[in-house]
Amino acid sequence: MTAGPRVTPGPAATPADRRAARRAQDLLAHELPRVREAAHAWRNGLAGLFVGLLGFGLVKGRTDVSKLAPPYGALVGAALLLSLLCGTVAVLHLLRAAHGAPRTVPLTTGTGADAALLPAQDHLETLRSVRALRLGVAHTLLCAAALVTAVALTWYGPVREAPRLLVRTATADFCGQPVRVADGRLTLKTSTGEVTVSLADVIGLGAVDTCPAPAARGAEKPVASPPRLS
Amino acid sequence: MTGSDGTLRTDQGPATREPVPYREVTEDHYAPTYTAEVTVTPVDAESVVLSGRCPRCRCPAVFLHAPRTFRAAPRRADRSDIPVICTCTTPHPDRPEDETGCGAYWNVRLERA
Repeated sequence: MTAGPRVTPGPAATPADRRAARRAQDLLAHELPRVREAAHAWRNGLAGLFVGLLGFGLVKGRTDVSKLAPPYGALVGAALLLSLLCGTVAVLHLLRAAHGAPRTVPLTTGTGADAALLPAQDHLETLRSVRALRLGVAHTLLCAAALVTAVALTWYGPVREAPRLLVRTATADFCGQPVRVADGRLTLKTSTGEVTVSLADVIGLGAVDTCPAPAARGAEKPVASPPRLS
Repeated sequence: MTGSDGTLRTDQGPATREPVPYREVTEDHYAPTYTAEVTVTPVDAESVVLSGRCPRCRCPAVFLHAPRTFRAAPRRADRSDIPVICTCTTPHPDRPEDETGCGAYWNVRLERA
């Protein structure tokens, strides 16, 4: 069994010591209302921050996540999920700091050490509330950062490219965005301009995400090893 | 036994005699008398509750010592000398409205195991 703390006579006291003790007791007596008040102020201030963030809604940017190139769409989703989780944790901690935990506590009665701890209950609650306030502020800022990241990725992330069409003829392969089909001719938009191919010459056709690297054969896009065509 | 401030020093509680008047005083025997019978209860890693009797008025007094509080300059963590004041709730004559206890104060040294 370890011995607990003990007190022995200290140096001779002075009126300054009395004032210091009185000041400390005053601070301890009112620290819980102070931390509750501070938590209210932080909650209102952080709510103001989010009102400011909502002001971004006045500036229109891209809103369709499905247009983002992989993996930016998934990153936006992860950022929004992180923002939601952090926001939830932040609200719970800020409410905990401002109003206390919604639970009952055992009423300390009797004599001895338990009764002696009664005057310290408010101090312990103050320490818990300060910790909740700090966590609430940190999670709120994380929530805001994740939200801004999600919006920034949505606005400025690279766009998903439209599917390309790989067309194989007896003489060459062409790859590009389909523009139109008319009069038995298919027009593709390739990196070097529009190319028109007669459908009668087509021996293979397939959709690809990206065109294969071109070989040096003029404007046409021959493919050394094209994907399997249907 | 009579103290130098003229009060009767006795182990009996204040209910058996008139409360001493409020005076902001300290005496050399306050700290030894207090520490001889005080109970120290740890609250957490830093704070303790001192439960004992005021060496001047002999009223029960509970004193919370916490090195840190919200929005207050933290004390040095290694500080071990604690100024203590009487915090009893007995209505001592001549006590200002915003004060507590009988006015006695003394210093103790906290030694952690």
